[in-house]
Amino acid sequence: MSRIGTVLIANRSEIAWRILRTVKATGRRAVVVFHALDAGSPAVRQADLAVRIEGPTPVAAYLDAAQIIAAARDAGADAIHPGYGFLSENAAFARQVAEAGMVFIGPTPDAIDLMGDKVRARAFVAARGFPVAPSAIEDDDPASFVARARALDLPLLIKPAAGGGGKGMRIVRDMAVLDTEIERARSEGQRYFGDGRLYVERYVERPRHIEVQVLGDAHGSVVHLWERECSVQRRFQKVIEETPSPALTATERRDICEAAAGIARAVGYRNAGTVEFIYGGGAFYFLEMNTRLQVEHPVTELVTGRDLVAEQLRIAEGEALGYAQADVRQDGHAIELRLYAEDPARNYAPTTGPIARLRWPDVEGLRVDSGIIEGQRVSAAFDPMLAKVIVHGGDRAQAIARARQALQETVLLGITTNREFLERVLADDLFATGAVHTGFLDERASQLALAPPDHETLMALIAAAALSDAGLRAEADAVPPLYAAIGAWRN
Amino acid sequence: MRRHFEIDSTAIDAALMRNADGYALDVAGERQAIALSAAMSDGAQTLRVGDRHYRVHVARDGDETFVQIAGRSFTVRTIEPLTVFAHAGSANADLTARAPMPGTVVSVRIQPGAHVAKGETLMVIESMKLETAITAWRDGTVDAIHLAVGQTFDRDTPLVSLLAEAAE
Repeated sequence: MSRIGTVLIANRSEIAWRILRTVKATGRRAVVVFHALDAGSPAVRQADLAVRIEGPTPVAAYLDAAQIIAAARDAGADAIHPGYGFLSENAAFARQVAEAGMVFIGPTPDAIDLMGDKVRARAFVAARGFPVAPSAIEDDDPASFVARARALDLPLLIKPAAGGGGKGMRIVRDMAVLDTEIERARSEGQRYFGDGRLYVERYVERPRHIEVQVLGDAHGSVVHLWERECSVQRRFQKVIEETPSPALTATERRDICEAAAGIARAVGYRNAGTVEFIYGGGAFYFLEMNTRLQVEHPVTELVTGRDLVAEQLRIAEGEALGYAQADVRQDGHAIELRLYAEDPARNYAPTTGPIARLRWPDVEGLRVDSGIIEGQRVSAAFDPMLAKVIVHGGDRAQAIARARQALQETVLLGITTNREFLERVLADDLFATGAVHTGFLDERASQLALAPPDHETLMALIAAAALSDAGLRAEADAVPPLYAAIGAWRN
Repeated sequence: MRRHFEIDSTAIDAALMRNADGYALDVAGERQAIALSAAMSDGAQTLRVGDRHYRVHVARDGDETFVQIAGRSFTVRTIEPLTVFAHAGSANADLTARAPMPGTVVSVRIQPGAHVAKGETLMVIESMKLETAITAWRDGTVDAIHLAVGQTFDRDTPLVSLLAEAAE
């Protein structure tokens, strides 16, 4: 394959900017597409060429494959990088890009298809001897479904076959209620998804979400770049990610990473991907594989010293990885904090508003992947993630200390964000011990809630508001001191 | 120079006073000297409240002041005495003017059913020994006068209502 000279980035916000940086740093030309709402974004400002796209909604613009491919063709792009989300796991898009004579920077459409079908992916992985949670799938043989479910060890999790987002899921801790819970889950599945088919799997109590970064080249070579611990979540979305995982023993780390690389090899995986596992009670089970660059990829970059986007570009050009597993080192500890436009005190409700002031601090080991700039307004049109604050330290304690400093010293005014909440999580005793699981934030909600401002802080806030108000100052200036004093007396 | 300040769900009335040395803040009789320095090169300012000095970042957008202090950021909403208060989320969102602070009705200038133009004085109230005119916040028809001359009221008491625009 020939050199990729021009890359069109089919994404927005921080990830468009992050990809653009590597595209330019490797001597390539960067083209971005953007919806009008993103016209002032960092990626659009720094692109060699930015092409406006439209859609019935802002999100729809970024999902419009035909429009984006046409823009890429017009811009003379050799390749399209989809980032994450949007078209990144759309096999039809990957095929269309190839048919248009360009390179899709990602895996083969077949790999996307296989891993995109969660039931097929699970069967594929299990058939090759990798660990999946013990389960009973109704579709395999409806007549024996309940009997097969009953044969599993408690606790169990019933899931709708067509499900997602936690809807219709039921946990069973007592076999006596299995039948009634199956019936309830069936009726919920029918109601939510128009499909009552179920499957039952072994439920992992207080599970951790641990995933492994893999890279595969077009010549059959696959390596892993170690794991990421992503257990701190709210509403099934990751908030804090770190590597290495504080939970794994050296043996477990080796096993889970080798399992991920083995799965990628079995798929014939090419490009960057992530194999996700559920981990609990010393066992891990395959959850799914994401066939794209992951939001939290920077923590892996910080501890391995490898630029994953640069690797994606090299692999897409047909280059061999050029290094072996033993060459992939892990140095120190890295933590990523997702800065969201949301109010943790109101059940993480998304917030909107201006970015009235934005100053990223100067902290040792800090990297910021930002999608925002001072002066813009944050709308509700897109995902609420504003930026990622990523820190590297010699060990976990140092990384946490640096992350707290970075959050405290970040100046972000005008919109409510989870910045202070993230700092509270990092300061939490349980977080410090590494004892996190996917229910951690809900379980610690009362300890993590921010206290209301005290009296001194309230006075300071009012003083700042009053003194920065030119109109109010002018009014105060116009009143003779004596009159003001009398007015207060008689108050 | 009294204003109503809202921080999250806390509402506080405070007055900014000028004196020979600078400014003072009066909150429920508690008076402290206050000062805000010019911005330093990194944008930070020094805020002095009595004996305390804080490093702060301050930005404004209309009636909102954004303040970052001790690692936390807050939004302070400043409400002028003349501002019309509306119940957020209510169907009658812009129907009623509410008292910005406790006071007494000095005069009523209109009758129910009267057509008023935006800016026209509806009622004059006295609070903190200052007379304040409650003016029409849009063109419309007066639906109700909730208080008579001489009546006292608390903050947020309905003063004057206009008919819903659809009803006119």
